[in-house]
Order: sequence, then C-alpha cells, then structure tokens
Amino acid sequence: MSTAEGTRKETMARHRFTAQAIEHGKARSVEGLAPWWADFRRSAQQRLVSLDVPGPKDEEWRFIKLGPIVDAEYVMDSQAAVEIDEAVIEKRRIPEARGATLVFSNGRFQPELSNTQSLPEGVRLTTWSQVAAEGGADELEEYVGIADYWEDDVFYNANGANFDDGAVLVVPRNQVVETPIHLLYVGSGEAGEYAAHPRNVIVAGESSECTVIEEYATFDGGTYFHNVVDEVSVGANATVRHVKVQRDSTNARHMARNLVTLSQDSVYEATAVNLGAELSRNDSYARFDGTNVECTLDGLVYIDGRQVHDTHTAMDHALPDSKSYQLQKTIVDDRAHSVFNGKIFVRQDAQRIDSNQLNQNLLLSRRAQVDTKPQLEIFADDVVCSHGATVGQLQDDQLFYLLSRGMEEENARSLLTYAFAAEILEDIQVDSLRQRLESMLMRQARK
Amino acid sequence: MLLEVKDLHVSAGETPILKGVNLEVKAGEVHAIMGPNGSGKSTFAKVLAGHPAYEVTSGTISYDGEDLVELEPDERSREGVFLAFQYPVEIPGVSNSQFMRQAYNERRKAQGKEELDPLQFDDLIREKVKLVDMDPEFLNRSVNVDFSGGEKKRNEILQMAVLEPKLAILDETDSGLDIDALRVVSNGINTLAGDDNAVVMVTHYQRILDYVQPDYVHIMTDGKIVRSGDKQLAIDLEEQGYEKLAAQQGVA
Ligand SMILES: Nc1ncnc2c1ncn2[C@@H]1O[C@H](COP(=O)(O)OP(=O)(O)OP(=O)(O)O)[C@@H](O)[C@H]1O
Ligand SMILES: [Mg+2]
Repeated sequence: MSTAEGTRKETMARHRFTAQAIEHGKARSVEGLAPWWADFRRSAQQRLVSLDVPGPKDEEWRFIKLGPIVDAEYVMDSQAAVEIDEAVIEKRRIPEARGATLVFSNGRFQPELSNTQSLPEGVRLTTWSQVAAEGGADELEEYVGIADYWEDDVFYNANGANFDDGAVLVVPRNQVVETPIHLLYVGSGEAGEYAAHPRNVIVAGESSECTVIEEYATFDGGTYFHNVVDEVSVGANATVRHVKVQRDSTNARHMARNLVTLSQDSVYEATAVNLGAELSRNDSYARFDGTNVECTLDGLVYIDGRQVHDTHTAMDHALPDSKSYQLQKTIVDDRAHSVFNGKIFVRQDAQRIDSNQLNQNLLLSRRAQVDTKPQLEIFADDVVCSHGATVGQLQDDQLFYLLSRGMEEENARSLLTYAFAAEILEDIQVDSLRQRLESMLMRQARK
Repeated sequence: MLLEVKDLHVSAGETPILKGVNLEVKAGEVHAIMGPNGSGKSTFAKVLAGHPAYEVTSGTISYDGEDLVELEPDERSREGVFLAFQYPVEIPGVSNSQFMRQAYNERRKAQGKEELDPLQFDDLIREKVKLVDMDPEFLNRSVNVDFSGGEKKRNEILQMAVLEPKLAILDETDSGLDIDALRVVSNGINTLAGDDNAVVMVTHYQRILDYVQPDYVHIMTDGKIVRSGDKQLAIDLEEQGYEKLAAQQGVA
C-alpha cells in the first residue's frame, strides 16, 4: 500500500491527489510559520478533505482531462533539489532585470543565483522561504487568501495547504520601480517527479508602479508539476504590468491561478504567454474593487504535438466607470488542443463600462482542436462592450500575396503564423524580453 | 516572345470565365487591356500569377519559352512575373520592409546572388521609396494595413520597383488615384519599362495612357479579347463604348 493510499484512508480524502496534497502539506516544516500562515495552511488542508478533483461534468473543466496531473505520484519539492549552475540561468536572465531577479529551482528559492540590488530602497522583494527564516510575515497576512471565492478549488487549496516558497513583492506607495522584476522558475525532472506549489504575492501600494516578469522554464525536459497561485493587489492609482511566460517542459504540467484585486483608479496590464507543458491551465481572475479601473488580460497560446492548454479568465465589473480589454490568441498545430473561456461580468450598478474582448484561434493542422467560449454577461445598460471569437486557418489571400512576391510557401506560412502571434507581444515594454519571445515564436513558426 | 497566350480557357470551379484568350507580348512592349466589369480581366491577370482559385482547362501560356502553367506562383515570381493586385492584401503583423526584404532575398537566392542584410536592403529600399514619393514611415507599418487606396497602389509599385520584374501585370493600378498619385504610378511604370521587360496594364480609363504610352490596346469582353489595336482604340472606346466597338469584329 502506498503512502498516499494510507493517507487517504486516514483523512478520508476523496481522491489520491488531494490525499497527497494533504500529506505533503503536513510533512512541511512549520518552523518560522506565523500563526496566521499555519492557520491558513491547516484550513486549506481541511477543505481538501471534502473536495474532489474536477471531472468532465464540471462546466469549468469539461474540455480537458486532468489525469496526468491528478493521477501522478509526486515527490515533495523540498526533496527534489537539484544542483543548477549559473550557466544554465545566465542564458535565461533578462538584462534589464539583472539586479531584480529571483531564481527558483524545482520550486525552491536559490539565493546565490538571485540578485535584488537594483531595487530602490523600501521595495520589498523576498520569498516565502526567507520570510519563514527571517520573519516579517505579519505585514503580508492581509494579501494572502483575499480571493476567498476560490476556496472550493482543489488546486488553489493544494497550493494553500503547501506553499512555503515563492516570491513576495511589496512596493510602497508612490514608489515607481523602473527595473523590471524577473521571477524565474526552472524545473528539472532529475530528482523525480515533484509537485511544487509556488505562491507569488504582488502588492502595489497607492500610486506605485512596477513590472513583473514571471517565467517558468526547464533545462532538461523533465516531468514535474507546478501548481502556482499568484495574488496581485493593485492599490489605488497604482499600475502593475505583469508578463507571464510559461515554457515549462513539454513533459511537465502547469496549473496556475492568477488572482487580481484592483482598487480605484488602478491599472493592471497582463500578458500571459503559454508555450510549454504537456498539460497546462492558466486562470486569471480580476476583481474590480473600485471605480475607474483599467484592466487588460492579453494572452498567447502556441502549442503543438499533443499539448493541451486551457485558459479561463474573468473580469468582474462590480462598480461603474471601468475598462477591460482582452485579446487572446491561440495557435494550435499537430494534435494539440486549446480551450478558452473568457467571462466578463458587468453588474447592475456598473454603468459606463467599456469592454473589448476578442479571441482569435489559428488552426495549423486538421487534427488540432480549439474550444472557445467568450462569455459576456451584462446587467447594466450604459455600457460599450464588444466581444467575439474566430477560428480559422491561414488566410488564402494573404498566402497568395506572399507567394506572388516570390516567397516560398513554407516561409510564407511561417511568416503569417509568426505575424498572427507577434501582435500579442507588441505591448511588452521590456525590449530584450519582447525580442527573445519574438525569436522564440519565429523559431517555432519555422519548425 | 516573352509571353504567348494561346486559346486560353479558364474556370473557377464549374464556372468558365476565360473563353479563349490569345495574346502575344514581346520584351520592350507595353500592352493595355480594357473591358467592362466582369469581363475577366482580373481573372486573366491572376491566372498569369498562378492564383489557385482558377484552373486552366485548355490552351497554353508560355513565358520566356517555359510552360507557365506548370510553375507555382512563387516560382513565377522568382522568374520575373509580377502582379500588382487590384485589391492589395493587408497583412497585419508583417512589416512592409521585412516583407519586401524577404521577397527580394528569395528572388536573389533563386538567381544565385548574395542576399542583402537589413542595412544593405535599407539603402536600396530608401532609393525606391523616393521613386514612388512615399513616406519612409510606411516601411515600418504592417503591409497595407490602414493604407488608403492610393497608398496601397503606390505600395504595389514600390514592390514592383524592388523586384524589377520581366513581366509586370498591373491590375487597375490607376483606378481611384488622384492626379499626383497617377503621375507617381506612371513614373514607376515608365522607370521599369525597358527593352528587356514588358508591361501589361489592365485599366478602365484612357487617362493613364497619356502618361504611359501603350504599344497595343486590347478589349476584353466575356472572357475573350475581341479587339486589338493601338492607342487610338482606347480613344474610340472612350467615345463609343464597349458594346459598339465589340460589335465591330476583328483588329482595328
Ligand atoms: N474565384 C471565382 N469564383 C467564381 N467566379 C469568379 C471568380 N473570380 C471571378 N469570377 C467571376 O468571373 C467574372 C470575371 O471576373 P473578373 O474579376 O475577372 O472581372 P474584371 O474584368 O476584372 O472586372 P472588374 O472590371 O470589375 O474588375 C465575374 O463574373 C466574376 O464574378
Ligand atoms: Mg478586375
């Protein structure tokens, strides 16, 4: 009998996945854990006991099969440490963010590979492992678990039951952080198939400004599981730019919840680029807690082989005078499968809302599959909203135009594919990152 | 003979569109094809460029001694055939200069010549841009996206100037242009036209023929060239209309 089954009996958990998450959570050190943090962990473990993993009957999960994630036997991240050297990281560093980079390997913070010296004084960039070791958790309590409407989500709770590492960024009021901040997670299968539960907490004080690049990468194509929760609190009149790049190993699995709370007059601009992982899910939920909020949730998914990706987003206009924008582009090749569900709610009192949502899907092969559902629900009357989705192939007239100018068909196809994708990158203001992503897309389009 | 079209029949799906076109074009010549809407002029132009929507059901097209029908559209282009589109296509996300450099270099590669790097190409394109009196800013924009009608036509001429085709087919490049743009377009055509290449212009208007002197004018109705003549034919046409002229058989 495996230990997971043993735990399952003991806790009466409903699934071996939740049983494992509970078991791993209980095995974690409580040293240095502030009381609220220990409580938070315990409550999540308790909720996990009664939760089942989602199946095809759950509306929010019906297009993907979670088997690879929920049926796996995991090593705890804390037991899956691997040696990585600077050379591996160096290639992935972003020059603009050299002095503001946190590196994690298999979910664990690597202080000797990290550097925060370019940050202005007063900006707190640390990690949960450091917080546990050095203290200072109490100031963070109010920013963790604020998305209580997620409490029936298995993966959110698996993270809550376990997290003891991940990035913590607190930008004080009026502070403009010019240096982009790079959170780099590298995964490796060398020490077994691990499950890590990074939690990234980003707090932007009133009238502050920052740019965060959250990246997942691999150097060995290993098998592992990243179960991420981000909590982003954008203070009044603050601006947060958030670029997420997921290029985990194509044998790995990636689950992410990005939970954003927006105060009055704030701006949040997110671009999520999902290229990696065998199975990945990327959910972004933005709650508008004030008026005059501007929120952008753009995304690019480019997958092939047998990759599966699912993006779910929601922007909830509870109050008047806000704007939401979303351009979600997907390219699927071979037998890959991509799902998009984008909800926009405009509540009854939320007048003078401006909302634009567009999902464009490009199918490069006959066996590729896309399921898309832009979902707009309006209960107010004074709103300007547009939304839509397209699914198609490369356009014949564009292709012929390029051919008629002498371009070989293969090159013309990859140029058009690249162009379709690259539009999403235009708004990324960190030049080296944008260029790197552009050449990555170009390479993939030429494959 | 640069281009020799014999009894060309073309269909789109089940619909026959061209019903026996004959045309001979020698290097150094300028031809104009005129004709009413829907007579098959654009179809003819696109067939020469190899558009996949059309099927040659009978007849032959020989270009520079080769069977043109056998060549793929991109091969035709690299062999020197150029079509200026009646409705140039917008390509979001592909910059005009990147597009032209790639096209230019593929042509160079096919000719066994060295490719130009972005800087070298930049020098070349900046010269050509002057010829069509275009703001160099257009080079950084996506191909034809948010270009006005006239700007799109200039952009076609710019591409022609860069690629220096042996056979340029211009499908209504003069339509909808103001007089300045018309001069620019005409100038582009005249700069290209020489002893080694030929121009076939599809047009509805005699006006451009004041700027670009045609050696021959042809009238196409219902998928056939029904009359051929010199520039006088275009003038007669303007006065009398297609129906009358088409009724008189043969070559004027
Ligand atoms: N792909 C196609 N499928 C079906 N019919 C077509 C296709 N292309 C053209 N046609 C038809 O063939 C005929 C000739 O069209 P074409 O565009 O060649 O005319 P045109 O002489 O260029 O006209 P205009 O002066 O209006 O540009 C028209 O009746 C048109 O509807
Ligand atoms: Mg036409």
